[in-house]
Amino acid sequence: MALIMLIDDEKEAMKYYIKALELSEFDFIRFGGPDEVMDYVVDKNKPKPDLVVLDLIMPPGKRYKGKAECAAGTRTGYLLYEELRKPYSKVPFIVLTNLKNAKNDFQKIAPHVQVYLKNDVPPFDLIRFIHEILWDPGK
Amino acid sequence: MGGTEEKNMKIACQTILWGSRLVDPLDMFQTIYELGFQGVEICQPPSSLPAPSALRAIFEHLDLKFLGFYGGTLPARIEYCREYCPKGVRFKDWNKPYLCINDWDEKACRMALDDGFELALHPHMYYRNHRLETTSEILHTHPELMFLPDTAHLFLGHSDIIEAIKRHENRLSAIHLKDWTPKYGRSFHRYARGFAELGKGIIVLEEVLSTLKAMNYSGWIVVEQDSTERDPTTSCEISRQWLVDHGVAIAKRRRKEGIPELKFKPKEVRPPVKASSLMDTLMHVKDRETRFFWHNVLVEICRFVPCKLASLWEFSRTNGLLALLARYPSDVRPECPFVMDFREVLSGIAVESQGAVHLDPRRRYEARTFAHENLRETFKLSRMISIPVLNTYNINHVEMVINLYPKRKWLRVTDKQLALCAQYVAIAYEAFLEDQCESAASAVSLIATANREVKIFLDGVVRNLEDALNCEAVTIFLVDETEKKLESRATTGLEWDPPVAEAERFYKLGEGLTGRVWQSREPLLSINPGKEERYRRKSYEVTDSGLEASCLIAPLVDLQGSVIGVIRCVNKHAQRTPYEGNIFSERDLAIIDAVEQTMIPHLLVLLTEERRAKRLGRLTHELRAPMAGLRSAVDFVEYEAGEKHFEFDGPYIPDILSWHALANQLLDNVDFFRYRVEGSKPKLEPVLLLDDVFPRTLNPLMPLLRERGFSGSNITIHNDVGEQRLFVDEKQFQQVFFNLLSNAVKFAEVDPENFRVEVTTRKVDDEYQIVFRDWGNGIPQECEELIFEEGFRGPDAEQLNTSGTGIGLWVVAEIIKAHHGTIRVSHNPKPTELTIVLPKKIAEPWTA
Repeated sequence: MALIMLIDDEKEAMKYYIKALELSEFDFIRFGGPDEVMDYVVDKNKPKPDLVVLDLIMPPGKRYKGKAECAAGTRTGYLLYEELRKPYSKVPFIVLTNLKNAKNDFQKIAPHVQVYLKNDVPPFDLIRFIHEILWDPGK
Repeated sequence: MGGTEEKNMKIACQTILWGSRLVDPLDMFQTIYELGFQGVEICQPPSSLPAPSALRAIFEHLDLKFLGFYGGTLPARIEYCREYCPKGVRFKDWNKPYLCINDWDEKACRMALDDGFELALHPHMYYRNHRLETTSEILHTHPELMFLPDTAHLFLGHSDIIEAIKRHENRLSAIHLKDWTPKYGRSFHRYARGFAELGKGIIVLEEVLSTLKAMNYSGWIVVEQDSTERDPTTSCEISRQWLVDHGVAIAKRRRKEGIPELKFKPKEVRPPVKASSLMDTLMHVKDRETRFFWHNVLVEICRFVPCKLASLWEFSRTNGLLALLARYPSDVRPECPFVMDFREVLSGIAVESQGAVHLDPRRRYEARTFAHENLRETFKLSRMISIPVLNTYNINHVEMVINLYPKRKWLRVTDKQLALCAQYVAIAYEAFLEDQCESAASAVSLIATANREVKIFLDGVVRNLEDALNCEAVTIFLVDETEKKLESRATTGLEWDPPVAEAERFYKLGEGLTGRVWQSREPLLSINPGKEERYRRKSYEVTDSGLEASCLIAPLVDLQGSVIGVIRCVNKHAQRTPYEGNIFSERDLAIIDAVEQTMIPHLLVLLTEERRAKRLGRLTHELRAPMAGLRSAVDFVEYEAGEKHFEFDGPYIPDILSWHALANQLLDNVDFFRYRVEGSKPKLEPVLLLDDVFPRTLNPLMPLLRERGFSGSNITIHNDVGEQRLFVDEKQFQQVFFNLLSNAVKFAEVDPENFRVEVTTRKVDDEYQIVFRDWGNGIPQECEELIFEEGFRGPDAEQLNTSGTGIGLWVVAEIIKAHHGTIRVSHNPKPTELTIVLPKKIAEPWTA
């Protein structure tokens, strides 16, 4: 069964996405910030995810604390993406965010990453997109 | 206000208001007496005054106190006072007037103190002590000095006037009460024009008065005003009246009869005989090309002072440098330095003397020597006349120095005539400068009226400054909202030193030369920035020459005295020839000051709008999170209802989804403010406008249609461009369609049968058109262009009490403009037709 890694600090806002994942055929793990994610990534005993769903605005945690661009948490997801793309070079990413500029930004840094606004993509639509990426990548 | 406090305070008048050279001193003193002043501080140099005995007779007759003496050198004033000393009174015991000084000079000051004089340190703009901290340092180092605070100079130096008075309250000789208006800015050349009658400026003098009363101050207040556009008596009267209105008792007096006759006749100085063509040249300063103007001035002076050589130097008090403006003959060889430090060269003596000096270039004068040895040898120079050109509004400030190397031993012109010519040159210089300042400031006004965004406005300003200052590059930095960072906001070409990470591309307070100017609030003129203290090269301007030859860094200061930014200019171009003194000078600071005065009010408004837009953006962002939560929850309601085969009685889910879509669409409109100030560009993708984009606008429209009882089937589309995909921002065009549709719904006729909207896409002569027609109430003809302005709501909107903020069509127009298209009312009414025209390039990938 495919493993989905969900990275988002907002529990309440993600409640229904998590419920939809529970109802789906996917396994998933959820992390609230960069510290937990990177602890998981460096552990070689932990399985690699088949897909990552990444939020962008999150608290910087200890890992990115002190970085000027992370002060308001607006760049945490971007920094995390830069760190994850190496160990997860073959893993597809979906960015799920409320940040309107995200599409433009990822167009420049990683055009293959799918960027969706939460307002436009309700939970079951997300499941459908994950399904398409994993099982119909040509679509 | 009353009581013993005001009675103890004594009021004097300073005589500078009557000019640096007195014409009728008797009338002046009579006026001062009649207006009720009790004392006089004399500002004219001794050479301009009546004989000491005559002056004494006048003061004794009018019972005026000779309070203080400002004008002329210390030795000259001391000498005058010796002769003034009343007969029968020992000079040592005589209650002498205090002598004003702007800085400590060991030799002259010791002489004065040894003679029993009180020396009063007066803070003065563009002198070392213009800041309270420096003044306090000097007073601390020399406890024998007294203090003469000046309200205007302290204000201009960003010092706290009340603090200055209280800190040194036991050492006050008197207090100069002076007002200032920012009309002419703060630059070296022009600030003195702003001195005004009491109450006519922006200094809160009432606070000063009430502090003095609270302190039970029983000393002297000296009313001072350096120059006036009115006649001196009127200005004095205005200031006096202000004092009376604020509770200071100064009773007018009747003119006193029997005043001793004054045998004083100021010698009228006539210009030299051949000076008429100089006058002519000077009068036409604005018509002449700058490159040749100063050279021509020298040519004309040499008509009546035949010279082997002559040169004209511009003086900058800020860095003490003299820069060559022109020389005669222009092709003189060998080469010589074109920038000099006034402290090291003979011309510097004229800077300090305020009058023509005759020098021998072969001699050394203390630390000063002649700067051009090779010229001295080649032309066998044995005589030099150095004439300072003084600022018309403040004779303490030297603007230029004229150096003449006469051919003959005997001249047919006197020093006074030369000083008169220098005065004419000063007037011409100020007219020339005024012209440059006005021209630069007007250009900024024009830029401001045409632009409502900070970035575009500042881009225009930097280009204007590059042109006005004739330099290679300009950058404007602004202090951010947190007041901890100085960030580049506009530049003609700025690079950051490679190791500096993107997130660190700003200056902290005091960091580098730029941060230093932010901290000190003082401009920096440097001919070799690399050698300056705190030079860091964190960032630099890219120039064609590749040099870092000279720089000007000036603070952007608002009316409250807070620094809101810094302007940095580099590499001044040579004026006429490569070897003229092409460095930044006080004149450039005056131009920047004039530009700042015009730009700052506009900039502050634009910055406020920008911050407001960003706050709105943060607000909409916050609102989107609960909106997304709502959407997710509805998704699950639908899912569970389906799973459990539950049927609702009404279309609750579709209704919720359509309200959700409408709310999001309205938030998109609000977001547009932030989008605009961030300078975001459209994200272009190939889309089918009517097939892909238009249908998505119908869901958010549903609540509005339901409200009016309209049917969505009355909205029809006609696609005449077929499968042609256009490269547009999909989300933005969704906004366009939604805003146009929602307007059509809002302003439709009441009867649902009459509701009808048609949207057509077509290609006309290589251009793509979207034609939007509705059969509603129409647009008043006079509003057809106004409807696209931000916030505009037509009279119908107010009358029908329809909802809306007047930004929908403005957003549409801005989006179309960003796609290089146009929108206009092409028919009105019935139908009301809006035609959007997009250029043919949007059919192919293009860059916004």
